[in-house]
Amino acid sequence: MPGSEMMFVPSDNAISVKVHPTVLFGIMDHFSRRSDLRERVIGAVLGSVALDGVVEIKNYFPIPHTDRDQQIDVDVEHFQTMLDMHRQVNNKEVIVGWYGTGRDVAVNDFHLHSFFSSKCAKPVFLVVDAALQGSSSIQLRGFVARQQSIGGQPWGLGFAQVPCEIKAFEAERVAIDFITKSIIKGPRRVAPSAPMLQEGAAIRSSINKLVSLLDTSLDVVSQVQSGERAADADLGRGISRAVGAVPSLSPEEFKEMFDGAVQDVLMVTYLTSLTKTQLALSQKLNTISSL
Amino acid sequence: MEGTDHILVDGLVLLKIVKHCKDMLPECSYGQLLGLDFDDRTEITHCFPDLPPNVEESQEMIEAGDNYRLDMLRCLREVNVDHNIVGWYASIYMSSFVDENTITAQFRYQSEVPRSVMLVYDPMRTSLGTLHVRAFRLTPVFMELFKAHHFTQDDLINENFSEEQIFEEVPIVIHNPAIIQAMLYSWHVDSTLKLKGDFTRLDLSSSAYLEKCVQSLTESVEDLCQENSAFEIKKRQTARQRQIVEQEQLKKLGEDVSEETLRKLVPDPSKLQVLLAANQVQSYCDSITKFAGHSFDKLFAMGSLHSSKV
Repeated sequence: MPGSEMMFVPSDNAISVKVHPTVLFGIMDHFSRRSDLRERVIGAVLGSVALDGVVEIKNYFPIPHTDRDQQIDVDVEHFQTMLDMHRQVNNKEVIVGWYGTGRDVAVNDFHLHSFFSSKCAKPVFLVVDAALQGSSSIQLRGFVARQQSIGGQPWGLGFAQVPCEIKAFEAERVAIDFITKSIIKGPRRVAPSAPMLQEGAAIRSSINKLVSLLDTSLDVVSQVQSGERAADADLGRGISRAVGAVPSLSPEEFKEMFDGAVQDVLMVTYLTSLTKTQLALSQKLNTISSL
Repeated sequence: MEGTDHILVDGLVLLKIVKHCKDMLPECSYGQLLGLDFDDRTEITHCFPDLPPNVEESQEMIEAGDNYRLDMLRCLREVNVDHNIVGWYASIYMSSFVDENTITAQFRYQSEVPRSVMLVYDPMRTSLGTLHVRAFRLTPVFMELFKAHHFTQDDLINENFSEEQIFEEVPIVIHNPAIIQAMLYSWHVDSTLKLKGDFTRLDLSSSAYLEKCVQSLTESVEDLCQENSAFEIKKRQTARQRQIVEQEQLKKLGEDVSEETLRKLVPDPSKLQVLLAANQVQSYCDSITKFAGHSFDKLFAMGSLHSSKV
């Protein structure tokens, strides 16, 4: 059987993998739902492949499979049904690979990889260490199958690691930020369930973060001045750029802008309360008259 | 049955909704919510998107949609996902989601599962920096009225029903399995995601969004006026029809017709559309007031910073 020994070689291609946080959440969720506590779970990942070889993983679905001794059974019908349904909703996403939980690439993964090779051109195999066997943080690694050769002779297939990183688009970032802020209640305290953050509290936390960042930069600058810290030109330029970005307005200009903005918002509030009063009045009038 | 105080939503559900709605922009997207319904709480643990709605709602499209849902539920059951539908979600534009289709759909869900909710996600507000997801349920009073189709003026007066009582908002509590909490915490500590969204919230240029809000508000007020005048016209028509029926009965039977038979033959016009339009106006007003409140927060914070700087 080709590639019965595992060989990890540095990848020389431009393939890199960007994973969206939704997929990771889903993989963890799938792992926490598995029926047999020792089992690993697998599933397919969907996404798109850019021309420069960057594979973006945007969606996923779990696939039931059984792993008995040396036999691996994948529920192909389930896979095909789910794939068709996902294509119906969004036909821009195609199969780009598959995922499996566990610490490392397992011996039988070549069978699975060849199955997925029949479904897409160059499948990416995502290994997620959901059981935290390897280290204290959740490891995410991506592999592709590569032809190995020794002395010019093709020898077999091996798994080559490709760089993997987490990428999120803006709305996902906002959602994760909200979820994180809702459940993290302080250093080392994560609440299992917490009411969703309200907008006012979110603004307050953003301002707090800004204040703490300003404090940190102030500390750094005073440390450099007093000579405790070596001056870093890039850091200095960055700080001066940030400070320079604040527009310097004379007090009169600022007051004008400020008053204008406050008056705009006040006017809109007045209009809406007027509308609401009108609405309440019409309600009352309607209840008095009848057919 | 009493409604619960809050619903537990998994972080995964929120992320999937955000992703699906972003893929479908600028069209609206819909999907089903799956979870568990206990005695004292409702949990939403998973969700899946619905097929994109077609312009023509033919019988085949409806059947295809049903088949899709059944297949999806079956597949998810095989991987141990909760396969009870406990609600649905929709993406909306500028908080305009109160129309007859939405209410009919939510009524259908709530008839089967009394505690089902609809999650409403606003991608525009989310782009301003705060995740805008709210959960709604129809009030029991409204459910009774809708079942009996009693929307005439007298019925509304009897029930003392106002447009604010159509929907009740249910607070959302976010819940995550332990492994995901661990992952979130490690991302938070390592700043893996470079959450720049933190400071988008502090953006002071609120005028563009306020303009759009006020525009939508004026449109909905116009709608309300139209619905009101349509209702008045219908009222006059019913009065005229009743007169005609009364005359005919007088000729045929030679006796006066009672008020009740008249009412049965020519029913009172329904005020449902007026109610919905009024609710829409109300919700726009509320969202503008909330947004204005936050803008004041930011403006005054900046004002005090500036004065201390100067």
